[in-house]
Amino acid sequence: MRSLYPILLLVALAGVAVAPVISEGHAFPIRSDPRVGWTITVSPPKVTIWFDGELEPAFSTITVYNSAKQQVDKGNSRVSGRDASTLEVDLPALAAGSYRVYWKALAKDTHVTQGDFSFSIEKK
Amino acid sequence: MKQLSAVILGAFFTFAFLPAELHAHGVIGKRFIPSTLTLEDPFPSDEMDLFTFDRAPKDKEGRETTFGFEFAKRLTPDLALGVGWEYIFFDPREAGEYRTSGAGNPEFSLKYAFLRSIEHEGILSAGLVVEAGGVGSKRVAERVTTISPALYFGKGLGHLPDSLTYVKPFSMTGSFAVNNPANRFTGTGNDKERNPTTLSYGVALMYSIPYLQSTIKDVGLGAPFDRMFPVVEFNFETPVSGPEKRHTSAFANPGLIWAGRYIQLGLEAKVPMNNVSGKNVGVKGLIHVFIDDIWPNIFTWTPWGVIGPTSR
Repeated sequence: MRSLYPILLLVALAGVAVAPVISEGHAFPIRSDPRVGWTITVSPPKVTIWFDGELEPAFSTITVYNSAKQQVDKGNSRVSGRDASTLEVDLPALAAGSYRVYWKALAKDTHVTQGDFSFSIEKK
Repeated sequence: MKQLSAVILGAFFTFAFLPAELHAHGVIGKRFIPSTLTLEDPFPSDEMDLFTFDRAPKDKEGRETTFGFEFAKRLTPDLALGVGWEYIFFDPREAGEYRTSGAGNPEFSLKYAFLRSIEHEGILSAGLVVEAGGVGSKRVAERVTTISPALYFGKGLGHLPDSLTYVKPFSMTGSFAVNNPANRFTGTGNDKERNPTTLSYGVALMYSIPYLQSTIKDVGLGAPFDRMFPVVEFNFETPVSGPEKRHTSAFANPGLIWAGRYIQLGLEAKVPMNNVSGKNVGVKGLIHVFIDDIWPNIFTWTPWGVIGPTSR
């Protein structure tokens, strides 16, 4: 029985560690609109990315480029006022083509994550 | 000579404390590489293997089962110290011998990431692991201290051309270590044991579902599949001295890792690839915790100031 004590101790520690805690961590994207890699038929009014944690507004950015590497978003990248884990930027009416979204997210604990993805618009 | 040492130390600390974007866990550029179950990963991190479980295949001596714990703490953004410990159960193969168990030897490690390339999703680290021989139970633990310098690497394949777009979520990590016993022989008389130098090496290949869905194409996988990493690790150990010289043990370890915001879970089969390694399939599991994310105000402190997540 004594040989089981270390195992029981480890299991108890596991229980403590996975108990609910108030904390922050890396922010990784959960989903986006437009969806990553998808082709849509109507120019979206904005690009929105939902993250799994709250973001620091001052250093979290999102930009959109066309296939000629020209920035096409309205330059008003922001963390949503309603949801601190959502990053968005407004778009003008975009022509058919391929677009690339670059994002950088600073989580509340200052861990930085970044990434990019593309979406396409095709004529109806 | 003293001047040379001072220059080397000065250069080391200069590089170690260079201001850098914060790195933690396995994040390099837009890629997250989780900790693997079999091979040491290349990232110096504030993290804890809260619980490891390893039931090895039966080999010529018997079967070993271990429960373990490991803790690592960064001293600088690129330098981490670690300590690990296992409790070992051993079932001997020969009739008349009985199952035995006891504490293994503690392991102390140092890991330094000396090269990171965000653009190439690559990292290269050097490490030193010391197993303190004779500290654990005499029934199951090695009596010799082993000193193991090691190299670790990690590399994502996100730089591949767009024609290979669905290959981009793959990443590789690997390690190479030379395990040097402090003494060639331990024990006396019939109990005398030769301690060989061994090479341990391996590579892990994993596919990142999060990378696929956030960078390549959102294929619509929801929880819990959107945080999964199918993985296969290959690990080898080759004695380079002693009677078992060049008798390489080899394992393939296919499995699955799930990485959440604060905790990572993993399960792998341990499949022997030759007769030296055993005959049936073993299993291993891992509960891994990102302690600087869970307790940022405790585990980001160092004698030189706060690193990683900053204090608020």
